[in-house]
Amino acid sequence: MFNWFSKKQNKQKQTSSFNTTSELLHVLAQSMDFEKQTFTNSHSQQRFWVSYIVPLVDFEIVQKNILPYLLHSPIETLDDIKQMIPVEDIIITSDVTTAEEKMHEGYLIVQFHEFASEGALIKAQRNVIRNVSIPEVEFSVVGPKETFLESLEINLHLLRKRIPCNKLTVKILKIGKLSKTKIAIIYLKGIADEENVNTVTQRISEIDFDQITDSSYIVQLISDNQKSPFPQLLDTERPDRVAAILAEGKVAIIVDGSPHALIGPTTLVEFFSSFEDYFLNWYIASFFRLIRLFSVAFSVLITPIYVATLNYHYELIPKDLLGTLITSRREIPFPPILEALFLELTIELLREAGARLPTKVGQTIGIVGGIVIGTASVEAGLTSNVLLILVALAALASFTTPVYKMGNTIRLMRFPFLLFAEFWGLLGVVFCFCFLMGHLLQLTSLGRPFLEPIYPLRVTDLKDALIRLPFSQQSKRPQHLRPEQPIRFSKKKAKQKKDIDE
Amino acid sequence: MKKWRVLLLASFIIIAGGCIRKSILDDINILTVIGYDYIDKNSIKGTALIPVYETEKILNETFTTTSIASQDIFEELQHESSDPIAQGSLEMVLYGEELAKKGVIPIIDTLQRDSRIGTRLYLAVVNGTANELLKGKYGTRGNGIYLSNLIRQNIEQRDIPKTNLHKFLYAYYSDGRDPFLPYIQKEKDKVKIVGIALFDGDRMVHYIKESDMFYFKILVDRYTEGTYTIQMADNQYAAVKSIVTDRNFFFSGSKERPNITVDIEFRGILHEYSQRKYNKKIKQKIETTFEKEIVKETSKLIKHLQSHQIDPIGFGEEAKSRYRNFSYKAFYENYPTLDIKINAKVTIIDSGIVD
Amino acid sequence: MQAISERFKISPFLVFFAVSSMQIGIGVLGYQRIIAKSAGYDAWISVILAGIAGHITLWMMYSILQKTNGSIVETNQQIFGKLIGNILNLLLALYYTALVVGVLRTYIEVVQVWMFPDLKIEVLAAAFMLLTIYIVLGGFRAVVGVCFFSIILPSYLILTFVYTFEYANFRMLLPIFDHSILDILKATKDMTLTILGFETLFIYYPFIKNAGQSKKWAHLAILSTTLIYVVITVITFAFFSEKQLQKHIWATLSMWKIVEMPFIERFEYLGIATWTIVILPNICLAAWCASRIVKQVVNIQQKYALIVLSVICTVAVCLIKTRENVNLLNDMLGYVGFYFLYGFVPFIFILLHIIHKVRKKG
Repeated sequence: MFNWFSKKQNKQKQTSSFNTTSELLHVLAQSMDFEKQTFTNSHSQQRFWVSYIVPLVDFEIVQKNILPYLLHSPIETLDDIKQMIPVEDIIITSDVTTAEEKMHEGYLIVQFHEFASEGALIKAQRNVIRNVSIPEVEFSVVGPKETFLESLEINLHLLRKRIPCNKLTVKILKIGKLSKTKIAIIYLKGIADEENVNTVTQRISEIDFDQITDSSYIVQLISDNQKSPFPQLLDTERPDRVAAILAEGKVAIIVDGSPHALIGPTTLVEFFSSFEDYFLNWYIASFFRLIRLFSVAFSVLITPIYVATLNYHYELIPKDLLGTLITSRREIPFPPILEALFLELTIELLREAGARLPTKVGQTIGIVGGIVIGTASVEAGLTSNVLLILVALAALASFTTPVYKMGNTIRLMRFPFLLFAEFWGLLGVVFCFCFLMGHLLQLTSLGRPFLEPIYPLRVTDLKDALIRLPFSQQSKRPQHLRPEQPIRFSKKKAKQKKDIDE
Repeated sequence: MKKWRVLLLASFIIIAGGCIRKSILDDINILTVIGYDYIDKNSIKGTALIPVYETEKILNETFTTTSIASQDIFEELQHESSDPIAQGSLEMVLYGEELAKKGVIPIIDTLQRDSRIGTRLYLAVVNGTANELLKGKYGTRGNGIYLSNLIRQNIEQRDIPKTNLHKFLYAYYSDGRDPFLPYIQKEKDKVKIVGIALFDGDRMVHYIKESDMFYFKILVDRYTEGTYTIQMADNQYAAVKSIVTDRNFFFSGSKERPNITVDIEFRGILHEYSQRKYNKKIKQKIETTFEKEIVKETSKLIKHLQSHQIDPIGFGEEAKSRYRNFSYKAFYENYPTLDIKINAKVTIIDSGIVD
Repeated sequence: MQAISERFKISPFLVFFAVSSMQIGIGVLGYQRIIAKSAGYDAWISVILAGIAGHITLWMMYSILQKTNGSIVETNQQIFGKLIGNILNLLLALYYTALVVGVLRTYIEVVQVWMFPDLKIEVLAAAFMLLTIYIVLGGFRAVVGVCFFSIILPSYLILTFVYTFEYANFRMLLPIFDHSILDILKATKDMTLTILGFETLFIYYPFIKNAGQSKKWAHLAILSTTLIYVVITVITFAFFSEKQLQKHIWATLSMWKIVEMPFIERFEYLGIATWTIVILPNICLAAWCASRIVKQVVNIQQKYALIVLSVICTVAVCLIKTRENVNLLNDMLGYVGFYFLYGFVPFIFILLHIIHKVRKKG
């Protein structure tokens, strides 16, 4: 993880390759969606040139707020523009770098000479965004129904609305040589550990990449161990979840153009907690969390155990089950490993096909695949029906993971386990588990241990890990975040006990 | 990262050299019961029972072979079988009576040495030959399940004391105890438990008849369920169902020649009473009759065991735990003439839902 | 000697797991027979005595380490000078390496006898050492993490002993003290291999935050392992008759044969597989200790020391072919361990105290 510090400081200052503004405009003009027009001010008879990239500019703003004033107000110098035009962001500059950057964000450039180096940059950005919609990836039955969008401003708005507090601090960085994506690092000052904030800021500013399209790029680029199949930052599309974790003292990252926020530092158990857990009574929430934990273990281990048992450990099978297993296996020409791989891959195929197709067709595929292929392969004697049940259950169990990326990891994890089971039976399964354990023990998220609060054991943090205790028990922020203000609310008040009839 | 190369290397090593011989469930013949019979001094006959699983029922397939030693029989059987024979799920081992009288340890040694064989395995002695018994067809779920369930349910709910390979070996290796095994017999399309075979060391010397099995069990084991009918007078019967029995040993006197008292406690419920009236007096009467019966029968049984110089009840062990520097040799020299007294206490705790 | 960064240190309570996981290893699978050989069914007293002896040694170890305020490597260098001290240190590294070899080879023996008779020693040994390298490369915290999980995850195994109660006859433990004190002490000596392991503390002591606080946890660890051993001993003695026990090389595993659950008919296979997690910290922590000593003495990077040691271990494991050799190795380890715990440690303890007294006066 510490190769971060040894990495060469390869952050060069972003400079334009052009020397003059006119040179820049000349290059831009090579693209046909670039427009350059000439107008004359009716008062001063001053001619001026307006250039802009057409798709980036909102014509309504141009026609209502810019052109009338440019044409009919008394404008003689560039400074006059700043005073006359009712647009909030007007920059007067001769710096080519700024000009280039701003024009790509949807600014007009107004020049008084065709080849002048100085010009006024006027903001006329066009924003195309969809409406706030219902969360689809992290759906919850109860609770808020809004998601982040592809616009950073709106996302920040959604967050600010939930935390109307001056502690909420936003740092914005621009990353990506081509995309120049705005990346916001959000935290609550005085609550979040500065070290975490600094780690995130440092890692993001060190990114050297041409195009950042989505927040998942950032996850892959700033993870502690980029070769690990485990996601080391939690991603979410729910503003409520982000607001909640900010209050805990974590750091959130929002990328412009991505409807998914990133949360760090995170832990393994957090990937198995759905945000809906907090909307339900704590008994029910804890029960569901345990179910999820069990289903993950089941999903990863059941087919390997099947393969191991059938290959090597027939002694383990209870004798009442022996008949069922043998009769279902008798017709199958393949060894258990091929049978298991065949079915596992079928399920993966179905899932992948379902995910790539439009929703309605996808559902049909699922039913056709599940029922037709499943039944047919059993009847054709390619797979045993016992294994079919196990694989289907395992697939179902893997979908209970609330975080999509973790679900993928879990499905992938099954294959090495299968391989080890094929070679060493149960010993192989445990051996593979040891590798997994060793891997997870070494994993960190933003430099904080990934297996926390299980290892290193922090008993106080277990209140919201494998089970969720009631809110009255959650008076302290998680220890592993090292929050600067560890107390959330007064525990005394929450724990006040009353006598009978009082 | 080096770590990933390590992982790759690990998987490579396993794939390259780690192959172990598999025993895929449907490609092996799973041995469930094996029977041994005595032929002559140098050879024994082994009969193996392998269930053939069909969709609806389980068929029996038997292999018979003769060989000099038990382990050899597994090998010899392989010559007859199309799939390799796997002995890991062995549920029961039968010994022909003649073999049992010659000694079973040479054969049992394979069972305890082989790590694949479980210790919950049932052993039994067959009146007649094991071969003949295994050739029969019992129940619909195959002979293996039939035989092991027969023993199991008789241990759990009837009057066979707890027995399996572990118990047998425990008693065999113990200086102060002798092993015993169920004694079974083929009867047309059923198998019947006809008694308990008693061993001196690994040699069967005698057996207890069916009617005495109840008394034997209350002496060696904790008896939990089972009904026993006592005759009160002519045409007067009472059936008592036992709930709990317990026995305690008391020793007094010298360690070479202790006086032993066995307290038997019996608690049960009245299951059936042939007379119309049942009251406190009759309850007491049933209790005392039953007590007398227990004392009489168990004393007889113990005398019998003493006369054969065998100790399946484990008096030796009990004595050992009560005396320092105990010597089994001295104890067993006096064993046939030891004074063993029985006290019985019977309590009938209820009489069902009617009076 | 550079100070160890706070980031690589462990909390004091984790010493509990480091000590106890290191103790529970391969010995517990079959120590019952060995101790019953000399002390009969009074041997459970020997287990308690061995535990008490362990406590005393541990106390001395803490006293030594607190005086030097570093690892045993520095202690040896301080007392005996650079040359002799370093020779001693290398012997210590050899001892830890032998521990790795002993544990690994015995476990492979168990796997071969109980699960896969045709498993190749080389393959399992190499795979295990690769796993060890992978974990130890993660640093001391990862190693202690393995220790932690090796106590937490297999703890369910304790419950399986409930199944043996059905066959247990606790009367057989009576009468107590039917054997002479000498016999019992001999069995205590035979226990050494089983309680061995906490001497790794000598090396990782500087890696403990507020090391003084960890003392109670280390003692608690020895106390709980002793308790577990006593329970297992008593159950085993009640389960087997005395001569029967002498026949069973791995009595703990033999007891699992009686465990039967509705979904699993024979438990020992699961038990042996789970035992991988139990022996893993034994190997990892010992390998870490050995490589750490080499790093401090020879001044090479620990990872290279680790890789070299792993190769040596793999080769050594492969060279031990028969059970006689495995037993010989374990006997030797027990022997060396005995003199290490009850000879070397008190010796250093007394020597260090004398030196400190003399220095104070001077």
